[in-house]
Amino acid sequence: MKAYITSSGVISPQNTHDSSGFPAAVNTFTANRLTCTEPDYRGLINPIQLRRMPRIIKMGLAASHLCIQRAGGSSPDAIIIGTGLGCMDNLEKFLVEVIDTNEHITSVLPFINSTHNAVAAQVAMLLNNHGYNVTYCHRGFSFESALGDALMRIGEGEAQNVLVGGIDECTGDFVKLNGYHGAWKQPLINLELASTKTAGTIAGEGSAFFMLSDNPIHDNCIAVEGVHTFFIPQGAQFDEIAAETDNFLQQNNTGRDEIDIVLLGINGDIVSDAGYNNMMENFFIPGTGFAMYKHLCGEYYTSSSFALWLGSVILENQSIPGVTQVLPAAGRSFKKLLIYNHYRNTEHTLILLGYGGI
Amino acid sequence: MENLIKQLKQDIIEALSLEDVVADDFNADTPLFVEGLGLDSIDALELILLMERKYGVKIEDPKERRNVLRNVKAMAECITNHRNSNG
Amino acid sequence: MHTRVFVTGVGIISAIGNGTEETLSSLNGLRSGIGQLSLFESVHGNIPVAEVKYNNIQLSGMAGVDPTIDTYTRNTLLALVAAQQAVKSAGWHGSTSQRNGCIMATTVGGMDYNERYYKSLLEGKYRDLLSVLDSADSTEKVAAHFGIRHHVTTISTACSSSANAIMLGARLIRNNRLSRVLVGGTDSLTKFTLNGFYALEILSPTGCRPFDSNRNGLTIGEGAAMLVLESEETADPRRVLCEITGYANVNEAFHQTASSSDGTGALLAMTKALEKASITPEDIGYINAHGTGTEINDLSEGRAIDSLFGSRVPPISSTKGFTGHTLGAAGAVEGVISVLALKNQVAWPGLNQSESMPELSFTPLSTVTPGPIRHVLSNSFGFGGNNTSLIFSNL
Repeated sequence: MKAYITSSGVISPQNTHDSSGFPAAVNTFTANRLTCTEPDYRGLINPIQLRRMPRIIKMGLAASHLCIQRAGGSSPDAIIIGTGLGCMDNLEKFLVEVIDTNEHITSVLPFINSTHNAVAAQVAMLLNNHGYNVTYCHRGFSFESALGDALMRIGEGEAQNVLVGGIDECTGDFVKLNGYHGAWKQPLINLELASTKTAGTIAGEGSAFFMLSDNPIHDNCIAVEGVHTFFIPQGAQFDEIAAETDNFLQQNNTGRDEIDIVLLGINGDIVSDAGYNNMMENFFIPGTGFAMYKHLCGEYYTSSSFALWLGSVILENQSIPGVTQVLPAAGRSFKKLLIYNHYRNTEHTLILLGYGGI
Repeated sequence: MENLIKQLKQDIIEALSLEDVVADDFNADTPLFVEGLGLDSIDALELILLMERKYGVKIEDPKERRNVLRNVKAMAECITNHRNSNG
Repeated sequence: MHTRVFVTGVGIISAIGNGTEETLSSLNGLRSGIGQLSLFESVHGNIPVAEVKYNNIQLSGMAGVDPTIDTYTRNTLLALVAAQQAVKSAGWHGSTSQRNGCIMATTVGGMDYNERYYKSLLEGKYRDLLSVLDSADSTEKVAAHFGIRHHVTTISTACSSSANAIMLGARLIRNNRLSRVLVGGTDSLTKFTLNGFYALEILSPTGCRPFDSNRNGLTIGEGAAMLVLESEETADPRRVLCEITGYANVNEAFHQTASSSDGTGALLAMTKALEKASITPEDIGYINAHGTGTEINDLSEGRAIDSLFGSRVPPISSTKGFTGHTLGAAGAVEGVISVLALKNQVAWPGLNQSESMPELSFTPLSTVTPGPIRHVLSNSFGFGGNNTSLIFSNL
């Protein structure tokens, strides 16, 4: 069951919302928390509705609006979103008010906005869209669950075009709470993330939406050929990751030697990156190119949606942007790109992309 | 009453996140719902909470609510009446 | 090639009992689980709720979890209890096979811990609790318990959440992606949701009265329910309880919290579910309605039912008068009740009925009513216009 990416809309810590290609200039940060570069929402969302929207809903509406416009403006047959945290900001707000005021709350809006499917609901309302509408909230699987559902929806013949999104907002409380677990490095230059051999990573956020279609709109359309997730609660061993990856590739009629580029969820954490290093050194054939993305967008549950955008850009342009490259690809033409990411070595995900042009 | 109206306008702007609106943009008679400020049912809930929490006025009857929330003047009158009757 | 989807195991824990036997006994005995709030202190303590009648220590015992381990939220404990029942009744043990999945749903996640410990958490205390606060925790603990590794995910679409989880599971089997999948949902009672619904002014001060002309709001419940779905190929025929023949999810796109007065979203969901099942409205033997008891939902859903069924509305009731509105778990709780209705060929009444709604052509059942029931339509409608209908059928 494969589907084609016919457009995208991405809001991220990079300048990704202006156009769908790789930005001309890369934003560098000296921080352990990357914040999105946001468009002026007033141009994209009705100001009357805008006023009481929490930031994450604005990010979701704006990115989906960009995606839909670039796809020609038609309302999709389904809207499927993955978000690890949902509208955490409003959830925290309502929760704190309930606690602090001893249940004498003064505002109901944060409660309404705190439902995880608020973004998907608002997108549907804006488009007056009555199609299938589901939100996945499962940490590092959130986006892949949405993507897998979208592929199945198209494969079932229930949809021709599906709007799929991955969105998470980084909140101060989230950073603070995870900080107590040593999740974050000391502030550093984000582009140097992979070279630190220390614990911790940098927090990030983003909103990436894609229009998936049952038909490529042109020869060079990028295909999402497969999605796979596996959950290993005690932490995965290298051989388990290898077996799952082989299995996944086989199911998609692909071998290790056919993967031209692998886009990895390297996040700078010395323990977490061991799995990626092993994959680079031991799994693929020499000449396979490797790239990374979390130094550009930070670590967040749905960061693989940013990776999907980057992966599609790499294949479209048939080149790995220098700032993302870990090892160059030996080949001159790239047909298959694999995205591999994991969250805390328990949630592992694989996305296989194919280039339609050759 | 003047001061109360001024305060209420500010309360409304804050409670409903009316970022582009300032107090001078509407007067005490401007309709709050449908036309005028164009507020909706979720805003109505927020205003009911505002009346209750900040001004101690609980309005439960839907008809009375529609009446009281029709504009700022009506809200101010309701609050003033409540204050007067409670001494 | 599409595969038939069978239900081979069910588990349920709610205000009306632990397990299917207790649930059936309460339903047949017309015993509601709605009562006084006792789980926590609240200024809204006079509002009726439908609590599971076990505390967390008791639930730990039932789930086989060491009660001194603090990383099991009430949500997770409820889920484990229901999941173990379902898997046992399916004659399964769980396995790591790629052909198995675990799809669950919740709206509150570990909110019971969140609201108890939030301030302390922000100060750096109780660090081991951080990982159990979100919506994925229950799912992962259940999946880990049964060794399920693939297609492990959590859906959160407000009150239609677990109906959507059942739908996804059914689709994965139907499309031959999985042979067996554990699906369902869990939601525990929290101060957060109690206050949220209170502020929305949709809580009944007296206990919900779905589809009654004097209805005055919903009653929050809590619970968990799980189902084992299997493909025709792998299912042991002796374990098959019923079949899932129809499902549909649509978005009404009308309002963030309210449904439209003519029920277009509800109508669309039910119509599409019937189409999927290739049956007509006349084939439905019982409707387990969403029927929350709010002014808006019951009117909206009621009108949609009238539109769809015309003058021949089948036996209908909302069982939320028994279980309360179990929010994210409702789709699964009522899904299991629908399975029980089919298995036992009986439909249960709506409780606290006194006066029919003048706007509607039908009155819900007022007594325990025997079948025949060939197909049950189960509705779950959530905030954000998320409308899901499921159809459970006898073989």
